[in-house]
Amino acid sequence: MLLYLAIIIRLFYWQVISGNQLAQLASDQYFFNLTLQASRGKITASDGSILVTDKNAYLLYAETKNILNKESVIDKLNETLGLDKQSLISMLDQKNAVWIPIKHKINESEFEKIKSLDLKGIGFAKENDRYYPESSMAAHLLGFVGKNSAGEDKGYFGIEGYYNRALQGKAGSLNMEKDAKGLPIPVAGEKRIPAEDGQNLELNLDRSVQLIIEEKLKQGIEKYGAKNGLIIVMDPATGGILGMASEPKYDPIKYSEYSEELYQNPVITNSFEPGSIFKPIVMAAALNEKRIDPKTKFNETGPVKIGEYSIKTWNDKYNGELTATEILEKSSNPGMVFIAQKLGKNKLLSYIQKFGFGKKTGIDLEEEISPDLRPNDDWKEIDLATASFGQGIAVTPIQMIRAIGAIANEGKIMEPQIVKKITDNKGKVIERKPKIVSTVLDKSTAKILTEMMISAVDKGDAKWAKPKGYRIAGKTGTAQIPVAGHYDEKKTIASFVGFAPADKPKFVILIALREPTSSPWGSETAAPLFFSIIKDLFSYYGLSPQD
Amino acid sequence: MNYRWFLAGIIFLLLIIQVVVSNRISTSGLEINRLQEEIEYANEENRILNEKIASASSLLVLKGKAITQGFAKNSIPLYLSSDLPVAFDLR
Repeated sequence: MLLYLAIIIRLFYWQVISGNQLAQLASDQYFFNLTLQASRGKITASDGSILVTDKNAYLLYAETKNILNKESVIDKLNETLGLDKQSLISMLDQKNAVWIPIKHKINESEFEKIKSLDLKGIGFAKENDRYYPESSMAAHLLGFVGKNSAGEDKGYFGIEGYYNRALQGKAGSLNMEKDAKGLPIPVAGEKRIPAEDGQNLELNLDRSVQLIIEEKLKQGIEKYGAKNGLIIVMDPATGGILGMASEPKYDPIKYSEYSEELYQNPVITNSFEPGSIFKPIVMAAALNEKRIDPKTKFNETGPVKIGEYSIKTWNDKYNGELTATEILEKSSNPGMVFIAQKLGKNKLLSYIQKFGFGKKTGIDLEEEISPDLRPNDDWKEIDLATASFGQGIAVTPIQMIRAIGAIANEGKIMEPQIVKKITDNKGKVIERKPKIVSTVLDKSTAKILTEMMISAVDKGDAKWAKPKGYRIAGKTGTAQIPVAGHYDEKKTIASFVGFAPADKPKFVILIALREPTSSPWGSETAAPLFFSIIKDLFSYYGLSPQD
Repeated sequence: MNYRWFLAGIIFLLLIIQVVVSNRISTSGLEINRLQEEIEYANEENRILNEKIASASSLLVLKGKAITQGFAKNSIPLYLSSDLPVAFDLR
């Protein structure tokens, strides 16, 4: 009787209490579950060439119980992969760990080398890694793929960050019954959820334009002794970003070896006082409101007094009677104060906002900022005066080029766009159409201002560097840098903004060099750099001289 | 009565078919495994080839090859005007 009772109790334990656990153990023996990895989407340039794609990589792991000679394994891994011996010892010495990941994302050649060593207890699992055929080209624009807190791949900064969800895809799964040899049993059926590969992105970026501007920027920074610099090239008709370069930059493959500060894209995260490249904006506003015309006269006899302040010319020389066009040609600060006074405070502030300053552009890159504008009531007379020549107002480079792009685009402000097309894993294409944000100027005003900016190039201080036979609209800038409540006398941001060919612009370009030491002036640094780039772009686009 | 015999016959036939089909496909796990391995291998090869194509068509690689093959940048382009000189204008 007692024996029967014991058997019943034991049966009850195995079938009821441990039933689920045992069923699970059995299921693990004859079912296998496989995660079907999704490939991360590709990023291509406008010509379809690959900028970023996935490549094969491997996770190197150790099954500690199967390792026969720990010291030999450590030595060989140290020799082949350069892994620190002490780290390997502490990894493999973990007492309760059965399976230890040693290194993620080892490449094919490292995999072949370690595989050939035939080390017992060392295994590989397939992984994906990112491959950049153009190396660190457009690093700030592209961003990089790192790990999130759960150890999963995640895009950070740039396109990888902004479009992370679209690029990452969705892993699938396969649940299938297997026989004693581990082979699938088709009769038993399978549960398969296919992986959805990430979407592919085609950019507006032109590889050749990007290569040109990156090389020129590097040369320019070295030649002019600048601390850092940036160049943006945009199609004013569509807002498509054809090129975006900044130095110093980082290598997205080895991003962890660089300071985190370098991950930020200065085109969208740095603010600066634009200086004279802001003058066309104020001039455009005054023209559009019919407060002035290109021949409106101003008598530049000396500094202009605003309260306790004096507004001087850049060289403290005064040119007598100037037309509005000549105010731009000579980059006259007193002249611009006159223009701003003609326009009036309310209209000036209204146009600053209409041109998109004080709010983000909406560009499809992660981490865009926008410096705030002072509330209208906080603007004093001196603030309006200095804003007329681009000081005392902070903008980002992308805001600046978008605003000038409106002049090149018949007064229409376009949303800057990096991505042109998105293709999903089924081949469905979503085209991002150019987006008109607003119309800020009349077509006629844009045309008049274009002629004024052509004149500023043809007769301004940088005319010596301009390629002959082309109509190029532009403006130089030399902005003082505010430091602890005052302006540094020696340090400047030298800049140039322009578009060409002026009658049917193919591109608008902004160049900014921080603290050039060879000369502080935009006309002697950023301007010649601009013209050097534009010569190459004319050649690349097959644009012959118009004269 | 005939209707029941007919149904029983259909059921019996379907049972036979199921046994035959199950028998045939029960050992095809080996073939499935082999095909899956082939697919995986082909996908991997594709990836490696795509990587090689991307690398070979990289602008930086092409630039390097152009330099080693003696190509130089033409800094003074020659423009052929679309406008004819007056003497050639036959309009």
